Amino acid sequence: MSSIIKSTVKRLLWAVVVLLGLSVMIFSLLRIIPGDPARMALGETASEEAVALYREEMHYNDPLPIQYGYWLKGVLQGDLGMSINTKRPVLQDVKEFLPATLELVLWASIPPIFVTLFFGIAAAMYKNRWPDYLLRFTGYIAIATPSFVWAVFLLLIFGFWFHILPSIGGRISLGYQVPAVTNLVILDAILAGDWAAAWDAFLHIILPATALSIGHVMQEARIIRSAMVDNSGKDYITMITSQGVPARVINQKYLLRPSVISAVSIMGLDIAGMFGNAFLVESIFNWPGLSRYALNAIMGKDINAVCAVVLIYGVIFILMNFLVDTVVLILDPRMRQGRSS
Amino acid sequence: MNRFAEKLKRSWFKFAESKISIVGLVIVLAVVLLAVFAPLVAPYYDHCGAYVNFADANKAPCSQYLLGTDLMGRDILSRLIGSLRSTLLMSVIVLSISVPVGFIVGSIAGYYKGSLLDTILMRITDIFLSIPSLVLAMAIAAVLEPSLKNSMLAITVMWWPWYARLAYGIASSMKAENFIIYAELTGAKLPHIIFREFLPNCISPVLTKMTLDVGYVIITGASLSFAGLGEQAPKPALGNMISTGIDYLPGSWWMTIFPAVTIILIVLGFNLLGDGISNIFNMEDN
Amino acid sequence: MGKEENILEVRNLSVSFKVMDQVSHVVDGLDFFVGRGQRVGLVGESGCGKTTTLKAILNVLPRNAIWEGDVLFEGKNVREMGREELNHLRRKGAGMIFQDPSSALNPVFTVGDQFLTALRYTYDTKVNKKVLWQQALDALSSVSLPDPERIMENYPFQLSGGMRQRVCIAMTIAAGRQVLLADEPGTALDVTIQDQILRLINRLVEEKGLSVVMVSHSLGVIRESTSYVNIMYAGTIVESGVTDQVFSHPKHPYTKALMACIPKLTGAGIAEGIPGRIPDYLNPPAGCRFCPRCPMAEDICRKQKPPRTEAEPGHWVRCFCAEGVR
Repeated sequence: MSSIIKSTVKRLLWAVVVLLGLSVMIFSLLRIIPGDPARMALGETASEEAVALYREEMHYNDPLPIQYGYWLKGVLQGDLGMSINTKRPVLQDVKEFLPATLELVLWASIPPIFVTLFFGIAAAMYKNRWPDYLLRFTGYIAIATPSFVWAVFLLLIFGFWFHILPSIGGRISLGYQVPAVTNLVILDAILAGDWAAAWDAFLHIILPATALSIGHVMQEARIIRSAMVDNSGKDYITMITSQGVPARVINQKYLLRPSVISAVSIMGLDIAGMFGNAFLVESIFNWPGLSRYALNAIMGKDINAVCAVVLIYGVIFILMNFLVDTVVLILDPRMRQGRSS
Repeated sequence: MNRFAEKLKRSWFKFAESKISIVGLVIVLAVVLLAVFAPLVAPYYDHCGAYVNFADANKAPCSQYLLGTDLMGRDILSRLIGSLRSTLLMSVIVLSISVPVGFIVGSIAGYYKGSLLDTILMRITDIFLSIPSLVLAMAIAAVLEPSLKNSMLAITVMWWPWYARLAYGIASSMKAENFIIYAELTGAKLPHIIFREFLPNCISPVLTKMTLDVGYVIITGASLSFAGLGEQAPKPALGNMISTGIDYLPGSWWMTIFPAVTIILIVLGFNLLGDGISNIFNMEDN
Repeated sequence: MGKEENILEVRNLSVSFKVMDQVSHVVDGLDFFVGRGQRVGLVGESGCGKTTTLKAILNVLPRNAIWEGDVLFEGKNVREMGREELNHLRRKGAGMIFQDPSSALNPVFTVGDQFLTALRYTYDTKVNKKVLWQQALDALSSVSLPDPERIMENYPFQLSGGMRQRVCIAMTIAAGRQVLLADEPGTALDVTIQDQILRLINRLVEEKGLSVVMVSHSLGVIRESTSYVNIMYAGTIVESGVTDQVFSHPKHPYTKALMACIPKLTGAGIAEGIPGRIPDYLNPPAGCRFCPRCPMAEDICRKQKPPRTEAEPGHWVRCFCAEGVR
């Protein structure tokens, strides 16, 4: 057990180093843009004195490393600058829009894990029979389809042709009042005991979450399938079969666990990648999340907002990788030794 | 020569063993030919620009315009064919820059494994890998002016670290092999070791990854273009055609669906081809 | 029961594998018998189908295998067994010790987890976990593993090769199976450990009165630990008989060549190897499979498979040209 703790601490330290590097990169991004940042912040109409004062105030006259120091200090205190678009502190915007994106990615990553497992196992169990062929065929297509194209298809099919699911109405229908606790609407509605609102919000999230996750589900199902097929020929499976352990127990336990490890390690990357794809999916489904906000910021050259989102997604990504490594460590005891030595 | 022909024959056999790779090859060949001969093949090649003909605007697919027309009266089919060049060009340029850069960074770090240089290079790589690739590409594209060239640049910047990782893994495991030590003893310089010793061993995994990456580059490029950060109107690109068409769903579905299906087909073709090529390499390893 | 109280009989067993679009005929009309409490050897070069034969006995061949012929355990045909009978065979009848102990244990579960799962199903009724745990500890102690408590909590990668091999042996003997199928025990390990493992198996067999099928490519091992030997070549038993008899009067040209391969301390230098190699299983020779390498091959050898003939009492050989056959 102590080897887990040791390697965890070590990986945490590296995560901090990477985060610092990320902050340097984002700071450079902020300073790369041509033009005077003080002038851009205040606009064309501001007086020369005001700009000079602002420049002094923001330490723009100091050498870059010192500027970086001030900037980092500000970021750590939650000062992400002002948004040019919304004329509000970026932190405030983030607080408003991040929960919607988190909720979306959460629903696009947790429930699909079970779908992935089901598909992967079914295909492996029915290797070279129709469920396997079906998964392989649909898998090829699903993987080749970008998530924004999935979003367009789902919008067309369910939003316009068959009005089964709400498609462009945001997170919940008008008329429902859900007290904000976690700002995750479905969870809040459940906490408030308002099941009708929870169901309504759930219907709203189905299409965007599906668009985000479907390619990943098929890809990971394929990985699990081929790992299970490979592993089913391994000596340790033959050995335990020869000992008379029922096939059901072998498949569900002794074959499944070694086979999901590689899928789990890419699952983390995929989930984090959803934040990127959410840029487009959110804007197609009019989902009021941070990614849609960032896309608007990109269009409006709202550089403070863009950098804040990149920073936040970077932090989430690093945390995610950390989490996944830990899960893999628990699933695969071999890694514990490999990492700590 | 004979041995080469023999090897080629064997590779083809392994490739063609999975019939679906041949489907991929056919799609890719068709796409490449269409892109190369676009001006000759496209029924209305001049529609791939600022052409306007409101008389024929927003027409459903018919015999004159097989896939319909857009709001300016431009032929969707011609614009789709016209967009293939920039789509293919993007993956060629992105990969031909990011692969060598990644390989050199990774193999230098791998060769000096354990040194300060290794730590610095690989931590920089890790930092680039620590942001979702599309987020980074969009941020870069946002700082620069939106254009096809800048979207290629943005994708290249986020693409090389993957190859650095790959080359690093191979180089650092080869570093202790006897033939590398022998080469060092006989006075081989770093470039010799990297290009004569590491490179041949990296070719098969790098090529495998490259063939599978073409599809991803196309998807990423289309995503940027969909967001308005790629090829700018009036020039056609698969992403921007979809983002324009999406406002006219479901009535003018052809403006959106055909470009969407085109993306899927192209990526599918490259993915299937990539699977086939990786079969060749995988079997050679065994 | 059979007339000689055979606990295990393999009759005319053939196993082939589908590889891509071709079929590889590995085991070809193989037969051998194991009497109750008897130690039987199965000798041959690597790749001659020894492991495949053992897997067929427990019906754990890979999915791409096609097999024909009969494997009788206590008179019942393994191929025709239902799930219950098959479970009975695997849980209480016969157990196999795999050649490579590093791959025979699941890498992501503790030894204890795997051991208990295997033990649990050897009982018809639910048994208290503590009882099973104790039984596993006893089994680990009986294979001379120190600190069995710790080993139960270890993952396979935390154990040495020799320890893993002992764990596998413990798992196989713990449930009181009657037949031990030992697939080249210890060959994946270094020589001193191999020796310890062999002595351990021999000791356990003695103590528990087990029947054994000892598979090996080493004649020395077979001579030491078996009373009856089958010489196997390319999926067929070419010669069989009481171990001492076969070793002192080998009849089949292949057996003779094998004997000549053993470096003799008194001999002049290292003996010659057998020229040629095991045939291509995709297109095996139509007649005797040894014939392309055989110094005595005649026309008939190329055309027909030699029948099993009793060259001298209790000493059988499959050869047209062996002494005592003609």
